[in-house]
Formats: sequence, structure tokens, C-alpha cells
Amino acid sequence: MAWIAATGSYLPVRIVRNDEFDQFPPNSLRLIESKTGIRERRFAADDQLNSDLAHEAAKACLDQAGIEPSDIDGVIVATSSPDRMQPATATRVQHLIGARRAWAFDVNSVCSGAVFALATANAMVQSLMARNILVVASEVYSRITNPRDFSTYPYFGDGAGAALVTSTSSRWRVGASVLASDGSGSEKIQVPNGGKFTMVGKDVYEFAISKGPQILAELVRAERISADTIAGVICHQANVNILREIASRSGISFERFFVNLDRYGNTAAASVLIALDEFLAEARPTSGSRVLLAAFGGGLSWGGISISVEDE
Amino acid sequence: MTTERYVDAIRTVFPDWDGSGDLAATTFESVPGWDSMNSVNLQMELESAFGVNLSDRPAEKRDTLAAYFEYLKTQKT
Repeated sequence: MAWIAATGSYLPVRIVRNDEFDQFPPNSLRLIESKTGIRERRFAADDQLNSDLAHEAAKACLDQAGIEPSDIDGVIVATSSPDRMQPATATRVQHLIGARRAWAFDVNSVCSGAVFALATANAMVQSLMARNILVVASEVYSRITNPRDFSTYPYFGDGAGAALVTSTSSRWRVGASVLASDGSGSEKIQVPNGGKFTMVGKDVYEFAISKGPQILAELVRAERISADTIAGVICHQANVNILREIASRSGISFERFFVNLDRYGNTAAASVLIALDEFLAEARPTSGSRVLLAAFGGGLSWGGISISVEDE
Repeated sequence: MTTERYVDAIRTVFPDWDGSGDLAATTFESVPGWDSMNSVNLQMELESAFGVNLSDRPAEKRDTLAAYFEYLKTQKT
């Protein structure tokens, strides 16, 4: 078995509100909140790399866990906006946190990245390959979106989240996971070589509201639980209207869906781990309940993980 | 302000639209890639192409490409 021993997150200091986008027609700015629920987001400082955000989230996680960097066996960074094409952003994070024994690599499954990374870490711990794996999801989409593209730029924010997956029993046990991909949709969400981020908005919306309920249903079935044991749903924070539709279609009350996209925008792979960190700190789910993670994004890809809340 | 330039501006934002067909019978919704957020990109492209400031976004009050072009022609440069 594997557990999540601790979580952490980091949001850059700079807040960017919708009304600060003076490159867009003033009469269009109200569309941002009405269509997405986003009121503001954070942008990394000019001298902050993706790995710097990841480092801060990792530090917060390790502080919560109370373990030394020397105890970490592996670092997995989920990102689709890496420091560079190569090497992996995870290698700089490994260096920054001083985890000298740890191997390190990146996972790129765009907005599903954190779920894919957590599932990978879970499998590695359960196979006895590692005892402690630090999973960090970190994104700087302000750098890869076109500031003059109203269909993408206002959606996204920068940030990082982290979780320590461990073989030491803890409060949050990692349960069932589901992962899926469909490469026939690879052009729906992409950053073409030498270009900026693009997505086919309508198609992505339909994809998200289709797969979100499917992920949750598969987790519920795999865990053999009833909806009333679900303490919270941590969905990829893409758009509040998507979340509402997923709630409606899944039969899980929207009140159980954690939402912070109004403050941070869509932080791509980072959104699930940032939301998980905030949810666990605020909601303090009780023993016997479940927290379901669900994400969907470029690839196309989608996946979910169930977390069981246990006695400490 | 020609129809050809108007069509070119739309195709700049929506390259998958081939620009053919009767503009009076073509709704913005039918243009491949159209959504409310991309309508703002089209508004900006038209403002840049024709040197105007548009208070009405495409499709906000006029559904067809021809109807919006008529509105566009009334805007001062």
C-alpha cells in the first residue's frame, strides 16, 4: 500500500485580475468570469523558473511531512511548461531540495499530469521500488500562452502543488486509480513547435464534461463506495461551468467539489495538487471518507485517484 | 472596407473556415472553431484590420456574417 504523507503548494506573489488585461476590448473582460468563473490568477515573477515554483511547493510539503531530503528516493515533476526542453525540470528540483539520493524525471500529461504522476509514484511505492517519492506538479502557462489570444490567455495561471507518496502508513491512503488516453484528439490541446498554446474550446469543453463523470464513476465502482462517503471531489480546475456540469452528470453534489479557480485560474497539471493541499487543510475530511481526484487534458488524457481518509 | 478583406480577417482567426458561401446565410456559430472567447479575438482582428473600435462583439447582436459586416461599415475609422 501507499499513502500521501503530506501536501504543499505555492502560488506566485503577483496577482493579475481580469480587469488588468488592457490588451483586450474592455467590453469583453466580463466574459472571463461569466464563462469560466475566474476572477484573478497568479503570474510567476520574471526571474522565477517553473522549477523555482516547484521548489517552493516541495519545501512546503517536506516541512509538513517532517522528513529530510535525504529520505527521498525519487522526484517526479508533472509539467507541460518545463524550464527547458531538456533536461527534465525534476532534476533541478532534486538539486534545489537537496535530495541527493533521489532519481528524478518529468511526466507530461498536460492538465492530467498530476494524476498520472501520482499513479506512477503509487505503483513504484507499492512495488517496493521506493519508500518516499515526492510528486510535484508545476506550471508557468503565462509563459506559453499568447497574451493577445483571448481564447486562452485569461484562462491560465501559474502555480505548483506537491504530495509526498510514501510506504509509511499515514492518514491518506492512495486507493484505486484510473488512467486513459486518446491520441486521436492530440491536436485539440497543444503547443506546436515554436508556437504558443492553443485549444479547440468547444471540443475541449465537451471532452471534459464527458470524461469527468466517467472518471468519478469508475473510482466509485473500483472502491465500492457510495456517494455519501465522498468528502470531496478535487477536479482539475479548468472552468467552474465544467465542474458544475460534471457534478450534475455524476450525481455528486456540487457542494462537495472543491473550487479555487476563481483565485488561481487554470494552473494545468498543478491545479489538482494545489486544490488537494488547500482542501485537506480546510476541510479536514474525517476517517472513513474518500477524496476523489479527477483530471482531464491534452493528449487527450484523463484519469483519477481515490484517497481514503484513515485514522492517524 | 471590402468584403474580401472582411473574409480574410475572419479567416485569420478561424483558418479552418474556407470563406465560401453566402455571408447572409452563414452564422458565426457555423464557423469552424467559433466560440464566445474566440469572438473577442475576431473583434480585435476586425478593429485592427479596419481601424475601428467596436462596441458590439461578433454574434452578440447580429448572428450572420453579412449582418455584422453591415454594422462594421457604419463604424467610424
